[in-house]
Amino acid sequence: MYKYESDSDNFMDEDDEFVDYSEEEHDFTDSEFAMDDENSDDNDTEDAGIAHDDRPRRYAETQATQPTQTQNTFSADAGDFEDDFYGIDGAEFEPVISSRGAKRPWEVDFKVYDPDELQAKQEAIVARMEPVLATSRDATTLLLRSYLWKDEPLVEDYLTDPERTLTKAGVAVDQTRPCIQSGDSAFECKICFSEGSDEEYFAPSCGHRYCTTCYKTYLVGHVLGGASWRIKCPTPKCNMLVGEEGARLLLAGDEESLARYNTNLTRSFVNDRDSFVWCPAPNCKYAIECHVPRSALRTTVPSVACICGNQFCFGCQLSDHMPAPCHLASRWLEKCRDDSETSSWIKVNTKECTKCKSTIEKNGGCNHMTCRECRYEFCWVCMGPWSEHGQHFYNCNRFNEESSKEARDSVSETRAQLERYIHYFTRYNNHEQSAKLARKLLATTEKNMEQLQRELTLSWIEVQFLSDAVDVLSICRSTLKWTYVLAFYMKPDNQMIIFENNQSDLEMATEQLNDLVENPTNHGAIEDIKRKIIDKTTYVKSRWETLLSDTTLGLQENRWQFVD
Amino acid sequence: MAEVPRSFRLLEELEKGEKGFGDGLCSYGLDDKVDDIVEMEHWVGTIFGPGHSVHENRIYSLKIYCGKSYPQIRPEVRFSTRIAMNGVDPHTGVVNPEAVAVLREWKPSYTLMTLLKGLRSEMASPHNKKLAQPAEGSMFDN
Amino acid sequence: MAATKRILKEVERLNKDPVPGILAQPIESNIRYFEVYMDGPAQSPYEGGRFKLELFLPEEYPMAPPKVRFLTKMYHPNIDKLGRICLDILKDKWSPALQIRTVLLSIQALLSAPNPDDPLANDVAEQWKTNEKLAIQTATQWTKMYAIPPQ
Repeated sequence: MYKYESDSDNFMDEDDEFVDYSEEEHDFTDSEFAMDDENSDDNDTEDAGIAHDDRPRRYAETQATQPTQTQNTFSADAGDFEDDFYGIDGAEFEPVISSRGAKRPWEVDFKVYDPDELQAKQEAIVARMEPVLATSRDATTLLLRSYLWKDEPLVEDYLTDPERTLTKAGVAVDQTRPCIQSGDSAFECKICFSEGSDEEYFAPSCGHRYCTTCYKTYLVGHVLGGASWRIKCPTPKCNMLVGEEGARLLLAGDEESLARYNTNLTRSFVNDRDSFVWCPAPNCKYAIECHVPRSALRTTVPSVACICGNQFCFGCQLSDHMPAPCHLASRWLEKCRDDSETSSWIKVNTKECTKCKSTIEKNGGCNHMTCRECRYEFCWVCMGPWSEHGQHFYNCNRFNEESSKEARDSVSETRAQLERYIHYFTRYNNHEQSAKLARKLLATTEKNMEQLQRELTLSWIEVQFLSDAVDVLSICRSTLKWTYVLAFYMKPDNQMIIFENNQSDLEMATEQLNDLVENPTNHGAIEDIKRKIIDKTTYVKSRWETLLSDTTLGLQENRWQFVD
Repeated sequence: MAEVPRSFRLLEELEKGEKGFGDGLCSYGLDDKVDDIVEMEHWVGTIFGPGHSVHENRIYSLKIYCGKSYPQIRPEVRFSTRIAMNGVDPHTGVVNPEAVAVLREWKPSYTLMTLLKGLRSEMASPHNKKLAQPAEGSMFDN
Repeated sequence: MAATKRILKEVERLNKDPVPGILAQPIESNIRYFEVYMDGPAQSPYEGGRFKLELFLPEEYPMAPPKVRFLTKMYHPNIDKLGRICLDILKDKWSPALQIRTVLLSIQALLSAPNPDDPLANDVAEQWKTNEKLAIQTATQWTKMYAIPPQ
């Protein structure tokens, strides 16, 4: 897999080259290191002898409801970015590309990698750095790994004091290539005590020789334990690492251990870096690269979509929680965990009909409820009659500060706090439950579509509008759910009212669309319904975009005050 | 296979027990009320009564003695918490090793966890699960 | 088998070239199980005492470390009531190039230089940090009470 172009004979040449580089330090820093996203990686990969087109690339497929990605750089203040943003992959980071034009404000650039692509990426970086450091490929790889792939401090340290940098990283200064030999009558393996010229031994660059069998057993033991590049020479107090060349020499022929070794290397490549995470979905093999730094997480929600379909937050790896930032989302989830056992208010899944008192379980996502017993129509959220909600008036999204004041007067402060929490939790939970039901709805919808196709001889593409509507519904449910978390921690002011208006608009439109999809026969002839659903879907989507754009910008502008 | 000496075998079991492995329905540790703990002879165990039986929601404490030839020779067991069970002496709580399968058919590969799980399933067996029980929490005088 | 060969060689060398103040002998029935006697190092509270230990080489040895514990009661911050020893080379710092000899030497060195910041016996470590003089006094007392006087 690795090609070693240099051998120990031209070590001196490399050394000379290194001197050249240190003299031209300023030059290469400018031309090779000031990397930004516009810098194409073509040159670098070609230098490495890896044909650009041979590298498999996979991009997150952009679906109708998934954020599209563009080549634009991330829109937050670039001054916030940590080292890794300008790091080594600046040149190679080529985020998901979309032909849809400009990136929308809430979207972040990211790229999805499969394990082969991750390996190719490591190789490309090493190949690019090898001539810069003028060290062997093995040494370059180890140096990069022990600097957690942060090239700038590595180059700086190396140029200042190469010997110290190598020693500290666990790389032998004398870069003799590791080999397997025999024929030394003075040899004794300090592990199994075998001795003599017949014994075949492994001689790494640190000079501590052990018989091949023992060295391999030692190595495999560590590899099976999950280790890769951090495996040290077995000699006590020797800090030299077993490099890849040596490891591959020892593991040659043992396909299982080699595969495990490669997996471990790739795993640490992702784990060692701030700009990479594994997709947290169970058994998912993909990793995501994204350059939103930790420091930007209070104002940005880096929602990314893996090829496996999992939409999650790059910052905390929880499921997508736009538009609530990570710290509010985790605070909220923690609060819900703490309060769920002590409070009895999680009775949100069943309620009594306000008219006939029969118990009603919500089994669909729409808030427009009709009691099976007495046919009373009401809103699930506020329990008020549905007739009052009409088309324009929808008083269910905000915590009524007036009635809350009354509550504070009559009951204790803690009680009022709880009331407030219950208010937001009820709405949060409502959207969560509805989102789950939306998945069920999708199944019914598919059946409906089949029926429509049969009855009206519509083509598949003509009934696609139903599943589009369900997609939009579920993404809006997720966003709405988290708007209540944002609102819970928001200090009430005029800016909050504007936010709540946006929230209310989206919520109302979402409920209407839900009702249309769930009970299509209530809304007239099929052609009518289709037109209504398509129109409503478009409208809901535009409300969703408005809300996300507004909250994204609002967070970046510090438009809202949050409690503590 | 190298034969693990009694003491290192018991140390291994102790470390597993300290980490609290298994499903949490059975647990054990060294009895530190005994003076000479270096010998690791005296142990205490706890069994959560099996569901769908008279033992449900009850907690049973036991004393286990691992002799010099453990695990070649089976341990000796007695209940500290009063229990009505076939093979358990109603006055002393001592478990008759011939009356419970896990002790009757003891193998050196069995552990204290195997023992406790074996007793727990014995408690849930048809001839034990419906026996009238002493007051909850009452103890044998041992 | 390679491991057995190594163990036999180690035993042979331990007999031919014994470590001063340390006696390690396999128990007849089990070549991996050793009875060890260690003299307390000079200028330590363990001086003048002979301590009994047991050592076992597990199946994975030398890729995995030996298991060792004191059988004599010890007052030492890195040794607990069961005689278990907190020493890095017996855990994550183990290297297959280490031997029974080096392990026992390291344990002897630990008796000379207790490390209360990485304790196994918390109450002893606490005493060692707050009142070292008293701790050393207790350790000296325990040596007289529990250790075997050297022949």
